[in-house]
Amino acid sequence: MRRNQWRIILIVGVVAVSVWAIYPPQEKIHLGLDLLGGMHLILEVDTSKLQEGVTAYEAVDRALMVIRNRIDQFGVVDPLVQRQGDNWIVVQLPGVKDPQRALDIIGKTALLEFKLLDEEGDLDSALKNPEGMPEEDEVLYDREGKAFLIKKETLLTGSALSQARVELEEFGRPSIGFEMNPDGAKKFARITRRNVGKFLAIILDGKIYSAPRISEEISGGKGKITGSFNIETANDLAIVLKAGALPAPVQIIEKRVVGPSLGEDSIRKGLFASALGLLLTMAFVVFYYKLSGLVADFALALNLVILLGAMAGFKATLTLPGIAGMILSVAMAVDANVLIFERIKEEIAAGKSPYPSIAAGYKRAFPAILDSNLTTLIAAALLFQFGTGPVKGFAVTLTLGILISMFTAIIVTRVIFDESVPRDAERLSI
Amino acid sequence: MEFFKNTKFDFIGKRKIAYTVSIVLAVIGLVSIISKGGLNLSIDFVGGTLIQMKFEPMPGMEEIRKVLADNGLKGAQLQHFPKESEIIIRVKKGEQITEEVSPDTAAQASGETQSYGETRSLAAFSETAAASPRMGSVEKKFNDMFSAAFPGAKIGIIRAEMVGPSVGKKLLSQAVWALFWGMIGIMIYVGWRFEFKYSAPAVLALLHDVFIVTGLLTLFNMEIDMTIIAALLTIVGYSINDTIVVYDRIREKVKMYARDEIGKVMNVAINDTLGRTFITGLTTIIVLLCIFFFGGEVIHSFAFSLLLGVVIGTYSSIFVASPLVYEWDKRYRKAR
Repeated sequence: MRRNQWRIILIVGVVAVSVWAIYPPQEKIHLGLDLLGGMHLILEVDTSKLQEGVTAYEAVDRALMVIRNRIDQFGVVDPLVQRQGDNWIVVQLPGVKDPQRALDIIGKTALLEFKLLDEEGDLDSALKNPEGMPEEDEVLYDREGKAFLIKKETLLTGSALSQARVELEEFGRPSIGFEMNPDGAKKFARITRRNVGKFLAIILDGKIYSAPRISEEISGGKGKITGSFNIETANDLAIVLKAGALPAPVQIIEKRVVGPSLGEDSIRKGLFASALGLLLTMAFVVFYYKLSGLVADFALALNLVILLGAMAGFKATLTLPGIAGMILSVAMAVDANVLIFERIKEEIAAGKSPYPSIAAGYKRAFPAILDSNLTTLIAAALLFQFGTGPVKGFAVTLTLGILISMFTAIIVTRVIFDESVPRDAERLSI
Repeated sequence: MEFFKNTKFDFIGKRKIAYTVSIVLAVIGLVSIISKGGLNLSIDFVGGTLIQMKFEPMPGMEEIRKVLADNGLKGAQLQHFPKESEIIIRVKKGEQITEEVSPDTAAQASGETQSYGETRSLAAFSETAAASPRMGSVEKKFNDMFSAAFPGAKIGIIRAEMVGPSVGKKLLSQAVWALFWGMIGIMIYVGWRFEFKYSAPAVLALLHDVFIVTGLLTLFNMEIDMTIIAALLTIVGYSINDTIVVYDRIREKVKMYARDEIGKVMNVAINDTLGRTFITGLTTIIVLLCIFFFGGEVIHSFAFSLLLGVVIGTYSSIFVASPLVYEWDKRYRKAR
């Protein structure tokens, strides 16, 4: 007992920490989108359309922040928003109920601009003969598809906004009221003062929402956007206006939506199949190695508990490829015990008594276990370094699985043998 | 009970037979890849759209094919899961299907096209419309398409994936590079822990496994998607593990019987590991068979490739990785 005291304390401690880390499993084990359902997006920031003085790196950073803000206000549990490569952004929204709406909120550039209407210009001739249109003008459309001739110069953008919220007009029609920051309010006052009597177009993402006539100077920095909104679209628009505009348009280059029913189905079947496979493996090990097999099975069970605990502790996400990594590590845990037991059998066959055979078996199997596990570990580490997404998930579970399987298959089983096989034992059930 | 006790198979002497088997398998794989015009890469890598739908009641496959063809999706692949009353439709890049801009802008754009023709301002407008993706949805398109064709049926979309071609290309190249560096790492470690003559054969055996499995998957008309890549990586992990165990025994025996002919010593070593190889392989295959039969369609192809891989990886440790070390050793000795 004395000799193994510390090892036993270590084992019990590790298992206790793991169980604590896993419990309750619904909250602690993070399931990937392939298992849980939800939406996975890769967005490409169009860095060819940057504002002046903004580098591509800054633009992607800014886009990340804006998208994160929008998602936070939209309300999703455990969202993931991160940069990938030069100008890609990965967005994962587990369990999201209305993917289309989320998509609209994330993907909207939300560039709010204030521009003046060109009342002197000739709209019809500009439409018929775009080449002849004055340099400083452009044609924009409103939400009904009506064309307007607009002065190109942007007087103010949405970056001047400090607040945006849904307001109810008469007859309960929603609109979006906004407030400007002090600097923006000053500019807005100057603009309205100079252009009394003209029409000011409020343009969102290149589309005119309204173009009211400026009746007098507006000094408070307040205004509103009207249009045919319902509560939901008005609310979504307020979210994106508050979170800020994207620095450049984003393009969705990958979109995966997995329905929750498919996720549930694959979890149920996957768990059943894995459990069945594991039980059959354990039964076979006992059948082949008798009582020693039971020891190996016990180690295998601990292996799984600790692996899940480690995944919960590292906040790793369990995906389908991750389950593959677990299966491989379970196979390797079984393999380590098979290697040890075969060596013990050889020693016994050579005429040694059980106790020294066990010691020799562990000693002689060790190089094979170490080398085979370390080689796989090297491969897993490189996969983690160079791989992306699913490959990475696989590498993480495999790495954890290998380290833990070495612990359970070598140390745990050794302690059990040490404690249960008497030094003068004549037979060993193996 | 014990499997493979005191066997005396002459693995090294009969190695030419193993080489023949490997070459035949590799050639079958190569021929099937070439005859099918390359690997059957999924939309994960070439870009495209995947839609998984549930129907109640299920229309006939021919009718569904007709609806797809009528909507300009003649080349779409259709997969049927009768038990779940589900289908998967795959449309690869090149087939005409794109995410639409939101309905109001789309309507507006088409309206403008009618009244004004292709003016410059319109071109500029549609450019901005496309660039600010208020994505209309492919899901909706499929839903509408089938609701119109089968008015009585209940239709649900349970999975929708859309991958741009650039993403897929990058993913694939990253996976291949990861594999490449993984193999370099393995080579260095094996060279250090064993001898250099072991490392090249170990990696050659891995390449052998990956190539043959890929070839056989192509032969069975299976699509190479991200899950299959994960399976191939798993196979590499399993196979190198298996190979190292055999190498370890060879290393030990070569030290013990340094004076004996190396081929003989290797035979003894491989025979000694047969019991372990069999048991480990068997337990792994049991688990995989369970997943194959009960794991559901999502991991079906994954389990299938792993089954192939475990068999071939085990085979290659004994019949490819070890004999190649022998070849290397022989040549090296002659040169001296």
